[in-house]
Amino acid sequence: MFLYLALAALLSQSTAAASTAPGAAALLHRADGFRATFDAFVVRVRLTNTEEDRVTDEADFEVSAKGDNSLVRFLSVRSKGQSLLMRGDDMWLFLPAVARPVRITPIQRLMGNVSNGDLARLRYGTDYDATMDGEAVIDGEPCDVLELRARRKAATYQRVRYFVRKGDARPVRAEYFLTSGKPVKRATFSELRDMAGRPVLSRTVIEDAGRPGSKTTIDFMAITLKPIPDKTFDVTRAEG
Amino acid sequence: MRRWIVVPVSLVLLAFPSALAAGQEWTWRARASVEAQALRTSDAPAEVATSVKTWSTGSLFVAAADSSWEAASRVKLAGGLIVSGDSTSGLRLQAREAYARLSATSWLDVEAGKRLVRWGVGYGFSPTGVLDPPRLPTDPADRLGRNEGMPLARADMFRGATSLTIAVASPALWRNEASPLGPSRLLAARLRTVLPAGLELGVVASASAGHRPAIGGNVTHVLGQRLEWHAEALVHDRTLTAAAGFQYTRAGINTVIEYHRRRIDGPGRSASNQLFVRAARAGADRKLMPELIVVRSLDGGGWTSVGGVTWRVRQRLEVYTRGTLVRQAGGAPGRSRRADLLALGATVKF
Repeated sequence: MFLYLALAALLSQSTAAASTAPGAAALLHRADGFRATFDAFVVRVRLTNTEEDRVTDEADFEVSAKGDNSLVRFLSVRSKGQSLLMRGDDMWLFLPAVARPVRITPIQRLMGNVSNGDLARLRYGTDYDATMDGEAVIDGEPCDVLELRARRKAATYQRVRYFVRKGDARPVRAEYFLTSGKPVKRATFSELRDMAGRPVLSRTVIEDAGRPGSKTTIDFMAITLKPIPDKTFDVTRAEG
Repeated sequence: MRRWIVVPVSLVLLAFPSALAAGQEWTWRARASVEAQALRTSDAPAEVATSVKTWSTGSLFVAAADSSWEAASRVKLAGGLIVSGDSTSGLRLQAREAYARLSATSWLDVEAGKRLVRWGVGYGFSPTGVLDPPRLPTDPADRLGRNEGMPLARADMFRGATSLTIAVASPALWRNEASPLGPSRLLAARLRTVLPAGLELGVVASASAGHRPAIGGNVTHVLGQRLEWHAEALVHDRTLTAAAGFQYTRAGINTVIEYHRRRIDGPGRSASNQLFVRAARAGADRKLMPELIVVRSLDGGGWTSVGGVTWRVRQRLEVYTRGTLVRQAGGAPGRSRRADLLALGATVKF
């Protein structure tokens, strides 16, 4: 009898474990759907830096994305002509007149509190493994908490705590951690808008964990769905 | 050269109507820089620490504008002009780039015109940059935008992470004045790929009439979050040119260190070795950007140091100061050449 009960307990636990990971992965996939993750698209983005609610800098970018690849074009006057290519796990920065394309990493700073990977990689499901980590209430919203761990080199952060709303998996907040375990940033997602036929969270506010008054806002201005040839993301092509 | 342009331009014209029907995109950018310079040179005895010479002053003006028009990612027309002048000569107009590109298929681009290309992977030196503009180690980023493109016709073929470029170029027509050193025609090819481990490999070859073909290769790789290393080498006639170095970013500082070697075999056998070091503040959005470059000859020939700082006053306005010190052995035995150049300038961007 005891053996039977022990076996039953063991079987029920392994079943629960087997359903946790797919459940978390499914939630992450649904959450990604709110963050402009279409098959192939171009999104115009504005980044705004604020210090203690005072605007200190602003810049526009155009992001072309398809699968694992993305090309970010710098549109503002001070950096016009520059572009950033992310292809799989590798990233390059192209400067109009510089010696050659520069190999960079996703964690390197793009502007303010935004890293290159924050703009070039919108789909967390590509770079992270998800597990459930309980529940929380964020700004009055009951949320499921996902623990994301980096599974590839291209991941901008080693660990992310992702708070998604119960029921529809809409992202509410994310907390980002370095390899050392130190929290480095926090992001809040808002401004749900219909863009390219789907509800998209068009605003992300990223705050420096060490300087609460320092914020960078990412606004999606417009999204266009269009076929993008694979060669757009080739290093040779991205040189200009 | 004109005959080479006919075919790709014809293809562009044939694709024009369908391209016009689709989305179009027009981009442009312009910048103008003015600079005041003070120069002091001397050919002094080596034991003299300083040389009492008067400073000569001058000024420099450079304005550059680039524009491109692209239709439905099929057709691209692009070009750029440079207007420059200094206190010793009149204004000069150069075509920086002027080319047409046709995306013939999903895996093939064809292009013709005057084009800036960058095949070398080094910062201070570019042995495999057979089509690159001349690389100046003391100004590797061409800060004033004065580099001109190479007249060429090329085809780029893409498959996955691999691309093959075949180009026919005319180095003799590189600048406004034909270069007496360049061949009239150059055939060049580059095969480039990115391996799954992130290793970027390139094989480069070039050939021109009356010269042995050149062949070389380059590699770049990123390790972790901070370190990138690169290397390249080219063999041409009896000359081996090679460079290797790395780039490291930490605490907001980006450091590049490169070693360069050039060896000529045969009756006039010689070798030269140089070290290039650059340190600069990392980050594209910084208001204050200091930079230090040191190029040292490892054969006892001297060194050149460039230090400067750029202050981004506004989105469209930068002010900079730059100092160049040149200390080289040369001239008669026991003498050295010295040059000090100070520059103060401003750049406006549009």
